[in-house]
Amino acid sequence: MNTNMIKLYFKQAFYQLRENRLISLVSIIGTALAICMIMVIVLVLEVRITDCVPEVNRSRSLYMIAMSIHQKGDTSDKSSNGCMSLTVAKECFKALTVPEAVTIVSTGGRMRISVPAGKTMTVDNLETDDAFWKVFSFDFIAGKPFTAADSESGLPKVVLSASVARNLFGTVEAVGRTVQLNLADYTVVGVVKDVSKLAASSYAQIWIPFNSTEIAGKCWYDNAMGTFRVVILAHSEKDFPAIREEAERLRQKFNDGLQDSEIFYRGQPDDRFSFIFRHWGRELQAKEAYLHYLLVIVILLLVPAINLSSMTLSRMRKRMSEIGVRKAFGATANVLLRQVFYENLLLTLIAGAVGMLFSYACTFLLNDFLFSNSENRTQIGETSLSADMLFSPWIFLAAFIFCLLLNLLSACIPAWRASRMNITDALNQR
Amino acid sequence: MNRNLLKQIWNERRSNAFLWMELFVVFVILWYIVDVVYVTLSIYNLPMGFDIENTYILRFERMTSKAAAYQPGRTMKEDVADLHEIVNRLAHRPDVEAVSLSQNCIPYNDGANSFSFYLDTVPVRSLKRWITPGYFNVFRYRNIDGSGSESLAEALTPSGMVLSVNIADVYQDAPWHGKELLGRRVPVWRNEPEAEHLSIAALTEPVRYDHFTAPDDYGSRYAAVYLTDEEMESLGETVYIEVCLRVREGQNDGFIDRLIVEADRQYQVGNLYLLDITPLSDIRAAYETDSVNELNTQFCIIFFLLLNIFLGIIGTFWFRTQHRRAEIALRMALGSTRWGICGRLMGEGVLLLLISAIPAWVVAWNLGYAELVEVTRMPFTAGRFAITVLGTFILIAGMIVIGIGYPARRAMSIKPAEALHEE
Repeated sequence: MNTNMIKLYFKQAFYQLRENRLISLVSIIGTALAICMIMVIVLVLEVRITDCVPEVNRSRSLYMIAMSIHQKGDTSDKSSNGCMSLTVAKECFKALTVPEAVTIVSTGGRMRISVPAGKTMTVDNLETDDAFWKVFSFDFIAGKPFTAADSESGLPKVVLSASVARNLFGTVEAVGRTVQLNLADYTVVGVVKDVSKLAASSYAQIWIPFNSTEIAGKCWYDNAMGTFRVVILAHSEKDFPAIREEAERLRQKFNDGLQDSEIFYRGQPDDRFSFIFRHWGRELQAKEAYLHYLLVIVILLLVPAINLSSMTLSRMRKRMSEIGVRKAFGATANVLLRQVFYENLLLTLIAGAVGMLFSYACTFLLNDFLFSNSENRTQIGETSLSADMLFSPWIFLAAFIFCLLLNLLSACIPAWRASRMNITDALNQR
Repeated sequence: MNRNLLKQIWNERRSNAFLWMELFVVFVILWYIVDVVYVTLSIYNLPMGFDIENTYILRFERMTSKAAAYQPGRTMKEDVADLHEIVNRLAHRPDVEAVSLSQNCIPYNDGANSFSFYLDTVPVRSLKRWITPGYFNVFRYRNIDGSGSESLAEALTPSGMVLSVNIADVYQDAPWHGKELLGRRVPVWRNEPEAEHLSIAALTEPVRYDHFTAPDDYGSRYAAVYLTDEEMESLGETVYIEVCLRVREGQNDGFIDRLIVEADRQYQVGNLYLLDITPLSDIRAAYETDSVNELNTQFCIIFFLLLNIFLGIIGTFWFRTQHRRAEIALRMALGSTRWGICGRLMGEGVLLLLISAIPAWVVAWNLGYAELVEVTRMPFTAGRFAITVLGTFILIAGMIVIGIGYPARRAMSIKPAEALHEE
């Protein structure tokens, strides 16, 4: 197949599009809408999966959001599920040697922050350790994170988000000043850019060392359950199996030390993809999620494909004599197949580009509907989007693949019909 | 005329096949979603049994030893007394109508305790509303005798509980249902003579958990039990106790700001301070977010399907009217009116829909009959099928009429003489 032919097909297709404006418009809108809806689904997933500030290491992170505990040897379904205690976090995860870093993070909650004789506000907080700043990469506007020593001895130091600093002090230059957190004095050591709630593992408005409060004491069920989660940063994805193996060893060791109960993780630690489908202390239901997505995408592709098929076919009927002439001069079925395919591709690509634009518009206009959920809705911050979340080569590749799929689906029948057309019938417009 | 139309549809079966297929596929999918939306919306609009307008939840936490104002050595008993003092001060505010204390049971709470008692030998399980009497006034529960919430607040005592009237409805073996429950004395948790007994002091109208919960769901039955001071002390932390209040009508604007300003002076008692105040409407929005998003997604898919029908129809009929210029002109020449032409085209579209809708109905009915549709919240009945199938038909027919409109207008403007001359 030479490129001149393809060029010619595109030229012809372009002419056809201009010739029949209404039909072209109808076809493009239909296809664009389908691509737009599919790409919105892809974008929403993408935002939750790919690396973006401050969660720049998502692809080599493992997550433990909940654990389970039951009586030793219990085969029934009975178990307590929830976050882990500091003891479990330290002995079963912080003790890991394979990963690059392990951070222990509280589940988050609200704190009252105030300036003595000044403003008071309620903020979302996370209580964590120094490794947090290594696992996640925050943009510090001023100051720096709290250190290992601060974290270890629980010094009252706090990192604020820019909007909190601005609200309390009217400026982001707040390093060294004193704030009251739940009426206890803390020193501001750093100010970071606001974090979107979409960075679900690292989002907060203030960050403090967990040793500076009494949160470690909130534990129950043999000191195993509590209020902490863990994020493990591997040197590379290849280390995941080794980390899981080591975590399993530590788990067994921990269970050996328990009298009657044992802890288990239901397949965790999760990689990023499993993590977003993990619901509170339940078995992973990724398969159902896949099926759900597949079904929706099939519907979104199939319905416009039928539409496009029908319209392409009508257009073919109008060009019957042209096809007849080409056949009479020796065009093979294969050549005609290809022609229909390329002509159709132009339309799908134009529509794909329009759809892609629509889908980006949707992510901004329908932000609340697309990105809020029961978990992040109770938080105070915003589900803001940034460019590094939305623009990745993968997105464009995905859009192109879906266009191609739609094209294949919709060009199939008309192309087959055109290639099978009888020359005399075609020339006689029968 | 109809036979004629049918014949024409049959003669153009090749190009109609796509349209038929699209209408069939879309009808089934659309019906499925319309059915879910119908169930959701009809449940959504049922009465809730309570009212959260102008209500707030406040949480009071105990400060740690790191706070300057910390008073060492205070017990939980003293903390609970302090909390009562705070509630007392809140209740005396001129803009506050009612205040209550409760544990894990504000409306739209993300979690709930359960409760059980026995009616004769039948165990009855329900949600536990562990509250002080003011709760009924704050959330405006309604006594079934029509006397409002005040009588409920009086009825709730450490020895008398308040139930939703539908609490025993799902237990067919229970000896008493509905109003018959009033005044009974029943054992709670265990069915033993020495178990704690509570009397049923009042009944309220059913209270649903959220707008997406069916009235016969577990979440729509509750038993309200008195939350005593001793029980509050056993919770260990005052932050687990919810302080809810209702602001008087017309005083709601800026309430949070007014309260925050006075918080440190007025509502910091002993070691307790105000951690947070949230309107219940925010709690509701957060709790229902996933359900609302799901509903919106369904609306999006309905919109997508209808738009596709519209585009498919407009495309097909565009070609069709172009194709049939001669035929239409001839009809006009033989006395058809312009509106007759339009009606004929519309008739053709609707007839085509009918032809594809009939097999779609069979598929839909079987889907429903096999309970592959949403049946957990509402049974699949002939009435529901009729409404949703008719609704789907009207939606698609509407799209067809709009879709044919433009090509039909062009067909109507055909000048018979010219068109026939071209021929």
